[in-house]
Amino acid sequence: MYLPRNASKARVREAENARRNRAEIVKALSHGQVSRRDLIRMGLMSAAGTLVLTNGLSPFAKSAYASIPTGAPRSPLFGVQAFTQPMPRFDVLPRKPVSALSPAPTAQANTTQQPLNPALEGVRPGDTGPIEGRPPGPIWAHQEFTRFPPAISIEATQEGAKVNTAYNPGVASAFNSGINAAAPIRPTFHPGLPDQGALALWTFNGTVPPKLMQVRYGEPVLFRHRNMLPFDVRQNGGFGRHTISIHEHNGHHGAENDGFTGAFFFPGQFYDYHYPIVLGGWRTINSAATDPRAGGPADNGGINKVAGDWRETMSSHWFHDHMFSFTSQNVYKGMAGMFNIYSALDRGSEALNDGVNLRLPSGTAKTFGNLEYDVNLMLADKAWDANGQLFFDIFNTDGFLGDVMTVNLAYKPFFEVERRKYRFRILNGAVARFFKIALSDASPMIFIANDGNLMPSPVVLTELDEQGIAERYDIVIDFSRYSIGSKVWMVNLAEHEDGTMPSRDLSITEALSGTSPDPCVGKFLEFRIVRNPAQADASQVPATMIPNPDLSAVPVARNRTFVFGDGANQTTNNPVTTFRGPWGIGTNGGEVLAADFGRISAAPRFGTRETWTLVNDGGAWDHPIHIHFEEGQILARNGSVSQVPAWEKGRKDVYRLRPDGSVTITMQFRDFGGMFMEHCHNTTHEDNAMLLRWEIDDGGAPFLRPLPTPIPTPQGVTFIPPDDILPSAF
Amino acid sequence: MKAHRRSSTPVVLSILAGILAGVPSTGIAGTPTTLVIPVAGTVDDVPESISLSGVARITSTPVVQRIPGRPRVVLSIDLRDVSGQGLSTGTTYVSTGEAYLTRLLVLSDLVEVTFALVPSGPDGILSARTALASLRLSFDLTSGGLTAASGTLSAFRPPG
Repeated sequence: MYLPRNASKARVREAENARRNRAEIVKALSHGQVSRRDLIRMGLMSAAGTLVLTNGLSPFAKSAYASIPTGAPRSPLFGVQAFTQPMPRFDVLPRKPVSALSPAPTAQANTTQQPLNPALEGVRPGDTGPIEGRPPGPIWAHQEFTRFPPAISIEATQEGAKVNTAYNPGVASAFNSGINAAAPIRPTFHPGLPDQGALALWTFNGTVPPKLMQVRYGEPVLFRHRNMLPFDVRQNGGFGRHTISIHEHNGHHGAENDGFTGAFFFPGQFYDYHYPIVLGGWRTINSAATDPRAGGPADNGGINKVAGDWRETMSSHWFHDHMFSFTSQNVYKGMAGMFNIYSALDRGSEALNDGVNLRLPSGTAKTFGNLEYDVNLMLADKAWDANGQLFFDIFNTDGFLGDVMTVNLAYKPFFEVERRKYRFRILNGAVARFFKIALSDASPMIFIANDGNLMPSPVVLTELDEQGIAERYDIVIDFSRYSIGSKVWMVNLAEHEDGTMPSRDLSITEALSGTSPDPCVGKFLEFRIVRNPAQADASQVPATMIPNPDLSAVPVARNRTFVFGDGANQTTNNPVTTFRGPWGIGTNGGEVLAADFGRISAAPRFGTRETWTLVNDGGAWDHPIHIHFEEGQILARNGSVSQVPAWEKGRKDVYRLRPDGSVTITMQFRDFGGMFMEHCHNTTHEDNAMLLRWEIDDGGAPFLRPLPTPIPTPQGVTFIPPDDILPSAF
Repeated sequence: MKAHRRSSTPVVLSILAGILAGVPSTGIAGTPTTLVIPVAGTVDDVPESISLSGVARITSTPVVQRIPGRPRVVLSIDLRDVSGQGLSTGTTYVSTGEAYLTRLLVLSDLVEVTFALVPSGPDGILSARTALASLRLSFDLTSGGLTAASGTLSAFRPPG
C-alpha cells in the first residue's frame, strides 16, 4: 500500500503526483462538482466504485519506473522520532447543570426559526430554518423525557482544528506523563509535526486530545452538539462533509438519540441527544429498583439503585459521526470520542468495598470515575500529505489505510506508569485497519471487557485477538512485574496489504524485527515504568464479573439472516437516502442490496427476542458488523458453539465475521423504539453501501408502522414514506 | 478540475474484470483441516520453571479469494489441553491458549504464538506466566489443506 522509506525519489514523485490527482477527484466529489456516475463516464472510476488502474492516478497502476504497483508515498515525518512525546490522556468534557443550556432542552425538536447562511447548499438569501436539526414532531421527540429528565448537560461543538486552552485530562500531571494541562495544546499529531489546519482536522470542540464523557447509571444526560463546521460544503480540506449525526455507540437510548445516519444536522444548528443511561429491561426486570447490583455510583460512595437487569450493565462506549456515506471521512478527520459509563458494579473507584463494586483498577480519590489507573486509548492509523495535512483517499473501496500509528491522536507516544495494575479501554478508531495487540515481552494481559460489556469471567491472554474497527477491548496490565526505569511496548501484530482484512498476523518476534512492509506493524506505544505507587494498589480483578442475562425462558420470535457481500444491487433511486457502492447486505435470502436509509429491512416486534445470523459471503474480506441499540450474545460461530472463543462469551455490539465465516447472535428488542442501523464498521464498506435500516415501530404511539423517513434540509426536516419495505421485514 | 497527471492512458486491467466476474483466483476451497498433535517442553524462566505437555489442536481454513492476492489461511490454534507443573513448587498451571491467526499460505510455515499459563489458586490470573508454542506447519498449496504439524513449547525470549 505504501512505498518503502528507501523508495527512489522518482518513484516517490510519481506516487505523490498520483496522490494529488486522486485528492483533486475526492475534493470534486465531496463538493458535489462531479458524481460517481460522471467519473464512470470519464473512465476514471469503475462501476464497482473503485478507481481504475491508471498511471498518474492509481497507487496500484504499473509505474513508469518499475513493473510493480507504485504504492502511495509515505507520510513525511519531518524528522520526528517515535516515543518522543507523552501520550495525552483524553480531554474530559465538563458536566454542567441542565440550566446551563440555552435554550433549554425540549422533548420535541426546537423548531425556533433562525436566518440561514446562504453559503449552505440550497439556501437563498432570506431563508430561515430551525435552530435544532433533530427531526420535528412526536416521533422524534425524546422518549421517556419525563420519566428520565436530564440531570446533567454536556456540550460539544464540531469545529475545525484550533489550539486547546481548556484541556482537562481528569488527572494530575503525574498521571499524564508530565503534561502540563494548563499549557496550550496545539492541533498536531506531534510537537515536531505541522499543525493541522482548520479544514483538515475536525474534532469535538475543534481540539485535541479526543474527548471523554463520564456518565453514570441513574443520571440522565443531555448531550448538546453544536455544528460549527464551515457553512460552505467546499470548505472541507478536500474530504469530509459538514453535515453530521452523532452516534453513541452502543447506547441503550431511543432512536432519536442514536445518531441515525439520515438524521443529520447542518452548520449553525444544534442537536440535543438525550441519554437516559438506563439498564436494559428496565420496563419489566427489577422494575422496582431494589437490586443493589443495578445502579449507579452515588456521590457519597453508595449506590443509586435503578430499574433494569444488572447483567445488562455497560462500561466502555464511544461516540462518533455517522453521516450517511461520509462516516469514514468524518471520523477519520477526528470526530470520535469515548464514553465511560460508571455503575454499581464498575464504579471507577477501586477501594470501595461494598460487596457489589468489582473494584477494577481506577483510583480512589473520588467516589466514581477515577481515571488515574483507568486509561482510554484510541488507536487509529493516519496519513498526511507533503505539507503534513491529513490525507484521505476514497478510491480503494476495500478500505483506506494510513501509514502512521497514533494513540489518542498522538504519533507513537510514551506513557508513564506506576508499578501496579492499570485498566486500558482500547478502542479501534481506524477506518479499515484491524489491530492485534501484544506486549513486547509477551507478558499476560487480563481481558475484562469486550465492547461495552464486562466479561462473565476475565480471560488471561498474551496476544489479543484481531480487533476490528469500533471494537473495544478492556484489559488490565499489571506493571508491578517491572522494575523502575524499565520499558515495555504495545505492539501491533496485524499486517495489512490493503483494507480487506489483515494479510497476516505476525508473531511478536516477527513484528519486532522491523521487516514488515506495513508501517503500522510493530511498537506503537511505549510504557515507561517510572515509580512505585504512593498508595498500595487496592484494585482487584474478580474471577466473576457480569454474567450474561439468562434468556432461556424468553422465546425466540424470529430468525433472520443477513449476508454481507459485494456486487450489491440498488433498487431505489432517492438521491438523499440511497447510495451506490460495491458493498451491500442481503436479508433473509433476498438479493444483496446497497444502502438506502429509506428502506426497512427488518422490524422486530417490540418486547421480543430474535436470533440473527450474520454471514460473510466470502472473497477474502472480513467485516466487523455493528448492530445499533441492542447488545447481543454470540450463540455460535460457523454454526458451532465450540468455535466461540473465550473472549467472546460475554455480550457484544460488533461482530467480526472472519473470512467466509458466520456469527449467530441473539438479542432482545425492548425499552425504546424508532429506526436503527446495522452495518459494517469498516467505515469504507459502510460508506460504500454496506448498511441497512431496521426499526422497532410497534411499541405504540407516537410510532407509526412503518416509520416515515426523515429528509433533512437547512430549512427543516421533511418526511417521506419508506422507499422500500422488504417482504420479510415485518 | 485541476490535474497533475503524467502522460498516461486509462487502462482497465484484468484485476477489475476479476472483481466484476467474481472469479476465484486461487481455486482453493475453504474447507478446514484439523490436526491434533502432542506438544511438550519446559518454560525455563523465573520464578520457577514449568514442565508442560498436552496437545495442540490446529485447524486451518483456506481463505476463499475472489480477487487476486496472496493465498491465506486462518489458523485456529487451541492449546487449552496443555497443562504443566512448576518444577520448584509443584504448582499446577493450566493454559488459556486459544488463538486465531491469519497467515499466508506457504509450503512450510513456522508459527510462533505465545499463550498464558495460569497457576491454580484464587488469584491465579494475577500470577499468570507466558509460554511460547513453536509450530511447524506444512500445507498443500493446491488445496490449502494442513498436511503435517509438529511443535514444541518453551519460554518466550523477546528479541534483542
